[in-house]
Amino acid sequence: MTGASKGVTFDSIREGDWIEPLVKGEIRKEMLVEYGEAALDGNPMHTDDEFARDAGYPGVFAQGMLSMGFLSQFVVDRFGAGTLKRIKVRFARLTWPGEIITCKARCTKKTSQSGQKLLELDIHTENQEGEQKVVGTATVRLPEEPSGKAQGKKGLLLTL
Amino acid sequence: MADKSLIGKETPTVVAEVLAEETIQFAKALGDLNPLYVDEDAARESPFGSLLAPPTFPVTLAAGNMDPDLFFELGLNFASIVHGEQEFEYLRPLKVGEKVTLKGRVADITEKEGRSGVLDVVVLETTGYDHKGEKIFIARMTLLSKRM
Repeated sequence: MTGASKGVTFDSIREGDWIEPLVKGEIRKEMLVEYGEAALDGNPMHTDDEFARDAGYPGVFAQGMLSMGFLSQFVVDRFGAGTLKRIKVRFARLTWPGEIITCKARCTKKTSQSGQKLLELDIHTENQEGEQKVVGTATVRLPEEPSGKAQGKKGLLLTL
Repeated sequence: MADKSLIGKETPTVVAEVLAEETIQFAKALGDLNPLYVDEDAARESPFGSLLAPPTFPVTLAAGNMDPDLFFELGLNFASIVHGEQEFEYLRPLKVGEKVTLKGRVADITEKEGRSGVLDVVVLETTGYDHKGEKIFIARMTLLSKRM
C-alpha cells in the first residue's frame, strides 16, 4: 500500500496519466454503523433502514464522508503521508450497501516551481458499473528526493 | 430562508484533543490500516515521530464541537440538510496528542435552483490551530437545504 512500491514518483507521472486505482470493496451496512460511531455522525439515514425509508429512500445509504475517507486513503497510499495538501469533493450521488466502490484518480497538472513539486489530480469514487459517486480534485506535493530513498523498513512512503 | 447577514459570523472557539483511541477507531472504520495511523511503534520511528490522524479526521473534531445554535440561526430546513461538498487544506499532517484550537465561521451563504425548488447553500469553515497558534488545517463544509 505504499506509493514507492507502485513506482509513483513525480518524474514517472505524466499529465493525463491514471493512477493505479484502489478497490475498497463492497459497502456493507455494518461499515456505515462503524463509521458513524467513529466519526460522531449520528444521522439515522446511514444506520436506520426504517428511518431512511420513511424519508423516501429505499434504505440506508453511506455517509459521503466515508467515501471521502476512502479517497484520502487512496492518495496517501499512492503518494505517501504528508503529501496531500488539499482535497475537495462534491457528493454527487449516493452510495448504497452492496455497491463495490473503487477510488480512481488522474493527473491533470504537474508543476515544479520554487522547489515545490505539485500534482493536481481529478479524483472520484465509482461503483461496479462505473457510476461516479463522490467527485473532486486533490493537490499532492511530492518531496525533492525520489520516493525510493525515503522508504522505511515497513515499506512506508515517508515524506518530510 | 438562510440569513445572509450571518456571513462572517464566528462560532465559539473550542479546543479539542486528538486522541489515539478515536483516530485508530476512525482509521479502522475506513478500513485504512496504514501503520502511521494504527501502529504506535512504527509511527514513533517515522519522521513524523508520532501517530497521525487520517486526513478526514478533522471532520470528527468539528462534529464533536459543533455549535447547535448556529443551525437554528441559519434558518436551515433540518429535514432536508444535505452535505453537498467538503474540502480540506492541510498545512501539515495532524498528529495524535495535539490539542487543536478550532475556530469556525460562516464563510458564505448563497442559493441555487434545484430540480425541486430553491436550495440554500451554506459554507461553514473551520480552521484548526496548534498550541503555537500555527494553522494545521482548514475545513470547508458545504451544506444544502431545501427552502421551506
